[in-house]
Amino acid sequence: MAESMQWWLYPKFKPFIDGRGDAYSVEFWKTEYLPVVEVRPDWEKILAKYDVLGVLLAIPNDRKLPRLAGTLHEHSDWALVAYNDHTLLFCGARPPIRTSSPAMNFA
Amino acid sequence: MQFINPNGAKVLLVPVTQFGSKFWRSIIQEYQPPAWAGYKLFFLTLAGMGLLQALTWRRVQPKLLIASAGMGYLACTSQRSILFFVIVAMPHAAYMLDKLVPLVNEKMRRLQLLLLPVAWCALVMLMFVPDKTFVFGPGFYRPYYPSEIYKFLETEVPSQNLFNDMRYGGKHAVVAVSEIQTIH
Repeated sequence: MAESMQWWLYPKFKPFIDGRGDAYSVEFWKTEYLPVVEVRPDWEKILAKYDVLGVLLAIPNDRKLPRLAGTLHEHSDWALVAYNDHTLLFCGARPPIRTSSPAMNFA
Repeated sequence: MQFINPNGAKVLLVPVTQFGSKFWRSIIQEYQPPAWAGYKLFFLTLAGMGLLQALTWRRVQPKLLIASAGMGYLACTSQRSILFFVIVAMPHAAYMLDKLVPLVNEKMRRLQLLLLPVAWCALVMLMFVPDKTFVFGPGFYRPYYPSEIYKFLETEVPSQNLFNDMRYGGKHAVVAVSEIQTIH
């Protein structure tokens, strides 16, 4: 049921992580994934390390926006470019960036 | 074993090692207790079960009660146990409803066959149809298949590295797509 990015988007977009938590080391979780999701002080460095220019976030069922979404929304280098009821897509303001038009609303 | 599964025999121990690890238990959502915001139906079911049991206390069936109470407790401590609670609780609820009907009105028994489809229709109309997460009918499960966003990415956004929530990533373990790589 889960995890569709590979099916739809590969190889144009490669996933950063997939749904098998145990396939990644605890170290990876602690130093790469969770610091970004939880917006720890080095989150920007980690995204820069992997040259990440887009962030695809899920809105949980309780509708509480992820902390990273709020941070990206207020950050001058990032923009919300598309969203629906369950997903948010942010893109970085660095080249090769895309659009200055309002976010696409698919909700 | 590695011929069948590239991860080897260790894959069989994953549930045990995960459950034994404080770290995994702290981040895997299914190990967290359910919250009212996301699990209203579960808590309402618990309350309903309690009410039914109080009303049918004279005809209590200890085996069913102990099983439901035990699984109810586990479900309150871990979302992963909710399914097992439902499996145990539904026969218990059916038993209690069966004992409750004579207490209310003997004629109600005759209406049971009629009440069942009415109850199902009401459930579909009030719970399933309005649900935006589990959309009624065939189609993609939208929280995991944001097709509009993917189409937008495909057509409007140049190829680049994305940071994604893990639910969108995809399983790399499948041998047929083992050549797929992440960005690191």
